[in-house]
Amino acid sequence: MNLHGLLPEMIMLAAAAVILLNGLCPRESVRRASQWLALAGLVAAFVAAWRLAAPGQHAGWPLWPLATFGSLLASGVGLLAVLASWNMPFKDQPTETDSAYRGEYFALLLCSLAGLSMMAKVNNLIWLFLALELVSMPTYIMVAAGRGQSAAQEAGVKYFFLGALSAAVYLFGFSYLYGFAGSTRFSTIAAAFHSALALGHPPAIALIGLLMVVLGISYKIAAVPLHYYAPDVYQGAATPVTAFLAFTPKAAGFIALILVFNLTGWQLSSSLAGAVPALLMALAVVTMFVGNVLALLQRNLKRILAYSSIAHSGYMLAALALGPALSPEATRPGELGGSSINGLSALLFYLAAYSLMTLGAFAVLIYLEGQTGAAEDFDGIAGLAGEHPLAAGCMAVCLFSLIGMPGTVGFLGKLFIVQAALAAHHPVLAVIIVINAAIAATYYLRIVAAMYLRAAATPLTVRRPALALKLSAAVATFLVIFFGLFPGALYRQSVAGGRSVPTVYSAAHWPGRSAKRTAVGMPGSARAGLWAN
Amino acid sequence: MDRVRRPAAGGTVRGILGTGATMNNWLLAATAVGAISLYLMLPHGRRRMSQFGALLGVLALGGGFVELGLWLSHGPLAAAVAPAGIFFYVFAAIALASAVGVVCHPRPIYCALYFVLVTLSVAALLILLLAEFMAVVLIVIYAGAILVTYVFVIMLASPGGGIPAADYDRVSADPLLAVLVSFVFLGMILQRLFGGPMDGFMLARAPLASGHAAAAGSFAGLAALGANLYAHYALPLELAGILLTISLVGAVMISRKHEPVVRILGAADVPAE
Amino acid sequence: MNSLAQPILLEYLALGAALFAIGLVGFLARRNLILIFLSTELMFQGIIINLIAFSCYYQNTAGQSFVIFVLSIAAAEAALALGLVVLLFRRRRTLNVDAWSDLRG
Repeated sequence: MNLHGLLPEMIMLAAAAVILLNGLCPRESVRRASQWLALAGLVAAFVAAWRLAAPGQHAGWPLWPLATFGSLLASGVGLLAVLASWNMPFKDQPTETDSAYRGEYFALLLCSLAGLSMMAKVNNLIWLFLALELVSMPTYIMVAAGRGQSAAQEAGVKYFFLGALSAAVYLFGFSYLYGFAGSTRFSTIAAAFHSALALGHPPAIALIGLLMVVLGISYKIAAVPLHYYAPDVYQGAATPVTAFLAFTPKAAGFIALILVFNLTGWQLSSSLAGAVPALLMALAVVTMFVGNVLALLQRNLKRILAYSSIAHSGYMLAALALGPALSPEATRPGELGGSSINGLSALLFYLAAYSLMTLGAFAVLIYLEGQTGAAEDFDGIAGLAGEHPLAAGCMAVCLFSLIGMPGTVGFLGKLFIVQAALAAHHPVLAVIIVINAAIAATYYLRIVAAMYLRAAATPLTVRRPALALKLSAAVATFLVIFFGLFPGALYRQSVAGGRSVPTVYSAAHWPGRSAKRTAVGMPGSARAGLWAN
Repeated sequence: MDRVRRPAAGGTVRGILGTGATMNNWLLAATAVGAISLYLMLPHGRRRMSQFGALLGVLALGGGFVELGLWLSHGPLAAAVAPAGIFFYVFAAIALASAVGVVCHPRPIYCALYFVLVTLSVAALLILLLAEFMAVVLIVIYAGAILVTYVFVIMLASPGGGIPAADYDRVSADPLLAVLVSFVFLGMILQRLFGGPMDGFMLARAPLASGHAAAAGSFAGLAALGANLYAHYALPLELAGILLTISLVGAVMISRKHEPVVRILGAADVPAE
Repeated sequence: MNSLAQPILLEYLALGAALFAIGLVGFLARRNLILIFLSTELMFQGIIINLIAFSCYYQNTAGQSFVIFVLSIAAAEAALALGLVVLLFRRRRTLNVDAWSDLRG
């Protein structure tokens, strides 16, 4: 890959630098251009990523569809995130119209998105480490710099300190992976895994490394065991920042996990190594139940969405554990539905779907905060449908999508994961996902009921929110319905991304190694299952 | 540039299995004693317990090292390993003991100073590993820059500069859980590394740094490191620069005094509203 | 030096893991914000030993390069963390982590 492939990231980082300088200008009118610059940068990055996603680009880079999926996701959802934080979150008082940190905020946001965008383009443990840090470090600052209330600072401490711990944990894993293969390059590590698996068990050091990486990254995706910060941080951070947190680190973490497991060639099936995919599956199930059951107990809306975010990580972890193998009866490429979708395609589709619907829900919350001060719990949104029918409608659609109602993108996301589970002969997993969706429906419907069936406790005062904010909620809701009815474009991108991950090790998949065209698979590796049976 | 020297596969590893088992138990026992001693030494507000803990800790450290040394000199590796490196044991002991000091001392300023000791002994170990440049960098960055900042902040942000120790420093939060989690983790790693199915673990055989003299010219040299860094890691270097900039901006943003917007921006640009 | 200092890789790995574990104990057990973060630096020391030991074992510079990046990120994180600590201390005049536990479900 040459530098041309990194064009979207370079555009984002350049835009971030310009915004950072622009934010220092003493004139408020000039500083107000920060949002517009961020928008322009993300639109340009999206266009660049779209052009790079055209077939035939970077053919020597096997994971290129996955990489462009990451870029498109980062710049596309990033646009909505910029719109949603148009009213600056870092205010000393809610009445202030401006913040001293306008430039910094949008520059940090762009840096974090650039990290996500380059996540799937890395080919080296060192680079992966830096990309992960590039995603998280700006978010630490965005959480902690919310001024005025001590809740933001409490959230900042918890988020940052646990983040440093998670970085140490996955770095420890990286050091063992390096020690196992003798190189930080993905191609060499993959070859080492391949030869070790061909001999029998991979050495303990490789498995310890993998486990530590999974544990460390479980913090980024807010999955068990490092999930417990999520409710506090989501509640304490400024709501636009929370919306950003729900999407960016999670997407980055999942792409990183795909890359790391891709090193193993998805062939961990011997007695000892099989513990890794089994552990992933167990974590997925536990994460689902923890998120959904604890969400039932909450009254604060941001906490409910935080637990729901944990639960959705569980669904996506399940899809990850299903791996890239297609079922033997896989249909022709490009055909919709059927069993042509593998676990990773389902994961990518779900990632995009989840980003859209959770961003829509948070955008409505931000809108309401602008209206009444704080719409934090059920009482705050009671009777919303009467006073702000459009906002209530957007919220309801996004919540229905989070439940997985037919007609929304959330339904398709769950459907694909369940299909992948069934195709991989894991009917129990499919049943568990459906049960969890039913549990989740309870608390989502409780919010809908509060909006539509209860009368407003206090009359909602009206202050004019930014048009951009309304736009972000409306666009997210529109996309939730649009992709729910016409998933074509999103489906094609995610299937391409998921299928680009090879199911068997072959040296040809790793540029930089001697490109022998022989795909050496383990016996029986074409079968779907928990990473080959 | 990553020249990989693959250890040759062979049967010698299976020979280790026999001694590996007893060795493993001894090391695990030492780990357990170390865990108990660390638990006792963590600040409880009682002095005698921590003295007893320190004694136990010395025992665990000594026991573990003696066992390691015996294993190395009598085990099947004896031929390959010359008299075990005394320097390694000295500096490892200093590093571990002062790490315990970092975690256990009730006064933050002493913790920071113990950390300097950890850094220095780790730097010495890096020199044993032929990474002289990294050793110097470690001292300059950690002991020189990061720790000085820590000391500044401790002096700035502790009531009375940390003397006498605050209540929350004298009593630790959840010592039992912390020690259990960490040492179960450590025990599992040690057990896997030293006692697990050894046929998979091929690293143990080659003595470290054997024959380094031949390679020293190209491998240990600073020039090789720099060439490698710029030939293979040019983009990560750029990324590291971006990250440092971000942290600079962020540190200013986070820790700037809470002031109204107007004063930060200059009175000339008061927003119209 | 050659005859005296020939410990094997495993010992370095054991030391790295031990430093990491002691750092983890500090992270979980201490209540002082500064010391909690100092404990993560201890964990980073363990990682550095791992990386350099492997680098020496394989006789390549990848591990040393990795350490350079680990060091720069550690420095960046330390700058941020200490800035945050200063801010928090200004708010509540204490470094006790329990002072920041208002958010509850």
